Amino acid sequence: MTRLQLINRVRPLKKETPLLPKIRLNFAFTAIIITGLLVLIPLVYAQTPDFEELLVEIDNRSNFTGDFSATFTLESKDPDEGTETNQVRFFRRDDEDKFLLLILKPETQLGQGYLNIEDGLWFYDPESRQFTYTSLSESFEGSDANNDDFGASNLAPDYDVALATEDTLGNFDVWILELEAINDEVTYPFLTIWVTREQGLVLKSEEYSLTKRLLRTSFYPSYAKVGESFIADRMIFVDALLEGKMTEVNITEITTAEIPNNVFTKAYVERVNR
Amino acid sequence: MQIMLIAFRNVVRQLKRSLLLGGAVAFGFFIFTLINGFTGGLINTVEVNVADAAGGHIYVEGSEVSDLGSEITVIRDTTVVEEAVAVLGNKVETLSYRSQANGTLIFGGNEETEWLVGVDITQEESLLDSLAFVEGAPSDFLAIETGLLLPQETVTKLGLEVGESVIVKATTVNGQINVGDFIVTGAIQGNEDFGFSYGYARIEGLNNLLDMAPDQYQTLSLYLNDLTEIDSLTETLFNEIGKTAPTVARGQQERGPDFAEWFEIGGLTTIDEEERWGGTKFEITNVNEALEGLNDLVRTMNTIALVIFLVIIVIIMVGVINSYRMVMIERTSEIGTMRAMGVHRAGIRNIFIWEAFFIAFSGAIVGLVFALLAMVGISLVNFGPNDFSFFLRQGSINFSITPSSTVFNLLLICFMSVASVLIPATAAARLKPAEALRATH
Repeated sequence: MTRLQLINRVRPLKKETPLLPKIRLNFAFTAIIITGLLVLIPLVYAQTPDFEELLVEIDNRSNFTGDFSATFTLESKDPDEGTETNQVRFFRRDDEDKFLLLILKPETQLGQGYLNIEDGLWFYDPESRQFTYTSLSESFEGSDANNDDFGASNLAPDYDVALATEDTLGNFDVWILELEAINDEVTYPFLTIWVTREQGLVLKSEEYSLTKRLLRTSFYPSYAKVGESFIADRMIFVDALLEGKMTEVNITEITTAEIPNNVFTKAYVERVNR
Repeated sequence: MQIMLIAFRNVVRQLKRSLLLGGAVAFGFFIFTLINGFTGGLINTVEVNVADAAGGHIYVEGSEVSDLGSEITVIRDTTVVEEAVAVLGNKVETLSYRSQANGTLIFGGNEETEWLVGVDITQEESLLDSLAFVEGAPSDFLAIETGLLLPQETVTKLGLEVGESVIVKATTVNGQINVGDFIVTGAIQGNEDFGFSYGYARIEGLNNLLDMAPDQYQTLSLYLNDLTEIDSLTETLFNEIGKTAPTVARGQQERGPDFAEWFEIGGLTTIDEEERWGGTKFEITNVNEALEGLNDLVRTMNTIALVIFLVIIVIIMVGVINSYRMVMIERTSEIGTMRAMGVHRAGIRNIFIWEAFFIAFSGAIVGLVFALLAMVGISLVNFGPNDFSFFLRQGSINFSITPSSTVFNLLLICFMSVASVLIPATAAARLKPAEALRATH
């Protein structure tokens, strides 16, 4: 064997074969794909919002920097007990996480009130002239609305976004966000909310128990713009455990006029009833 | 001695009059003893029933402060309590570990609110014996971890049948809403009229609903061997726990024992930063504190019974005075004869006094015997499950009288009778023998 033959056996000569053009072609194709992805991914990512920020926006959009007052009319429907109507005058100051609900109707409950201040939520009964400590998670007057439905929105500090998907709800393009509570003390450990992609308003909410059982479905079909904020002026709460039981809340006489500080005190609630 | 014999013979000789007077005394003593026995038995029965319902005579409750400053009622670290309870030794008969929740029961489109108590049935077997089952059996409750015993009224309102599944909605110890499925294993006689009606669940099932671990609980109840030591052992337990953990000062509890505050509806309490504590804070109370209201009621009933008794006594006294005035007039010549034969004035007086004593004493004894017979007879009647079951012991009225109070009442009635005859007896003793002998009554 000559020296050349030996070298060729160890190190075959590079020859132009039909395979090489294919390899060069594949390499180019791959480069184009990678380049395309590097360009497109940021673009796509730029269109997907930061959902944690979205929760902050939802809270900011729903809450008021100043004071807020309105009249709430609640119509509760129960298959066995029929329809019951409550009317309340509502005062809210989100900066201090305070609110006051004074019941105007029915006549038998005129003067009863719910006062949420620093040390918690208090129920006032003008007949006994006593304040009773109660809970934000309790239902309001036996309806499907809870006491904390009337307070400020706190999605951002209380929940993490576990999953986000796109969908439509009626004529609206929405984000469907599945939320998990980040502390043990929020009323609903799990929420699913439908948020409009354009304005960041919650149109629908499903509230789940700790065992992920659907407890309530809430609909917010209508909003009123009040200053820079939005308030759902129509809310529908549907009980998922009791068929046919639901509560519709309509909000009227909305005003952002300043509320005197003494309104958010027990003394005021007592004085109103004298 | 001779005076006593003469007096006794006189009582027997005037049998009709003696029976009438003695009968009045017997009636008064019968009523008074019966009422006393009823109130005494009532407080004992309620004490036993409350202890059975609450799982014991002394109650230990624990609470923690959450990261957000809320007070959460739960005992997670059981070491402190167990070490303190060990100090009491064999004075404790049983321990009961319990959780509780204000639940909404949902079935077939209906909902009812019911207070649910989670019991560790391996420690509280006697509880099932104390409950009046209308439907179902204790064995069914023992067999199913998610078993529920509900008051009959609640079962009826919901349209439930034993064996059916019901949804229970409640808030966890942290205040979150949760739901779970439970099986109704029995309907029991409730006591809604007296505010003590609630349902029972297995603690494992209820803890799961309340987001508590199976070995955690909210209240530890101690069932004692000797009820007279309730207060002293409560103090001992309080001091022992206080050595290693924060406690609520005795006498400064804002609320009563568990079953008094159970029926309050409220959420988590926010604790001011300067008042927060680390670990578990314990509150120790007992059944006597819970029954303060009932004790007041029983004291009032006993006072009313005493007033009635005194009124009866006064009526009897008036009768005795009038009767012995008549007796004195009728026996004037007899008095004259005795005085003529040498009986002193004191002797004459003492004869009448001893007569009154014998009539009162024998009347009281007869009244006592009839009262005892009535108590035995009434206690044999079983009223079955009813709205007053809480005041009954296994369906029957329980009576209780103490020997000391019975003897006191007996001596009181004798004393009052003697006092009432004192005036006519003294007047009879002052009669002049000659004038008495001349009397023609």
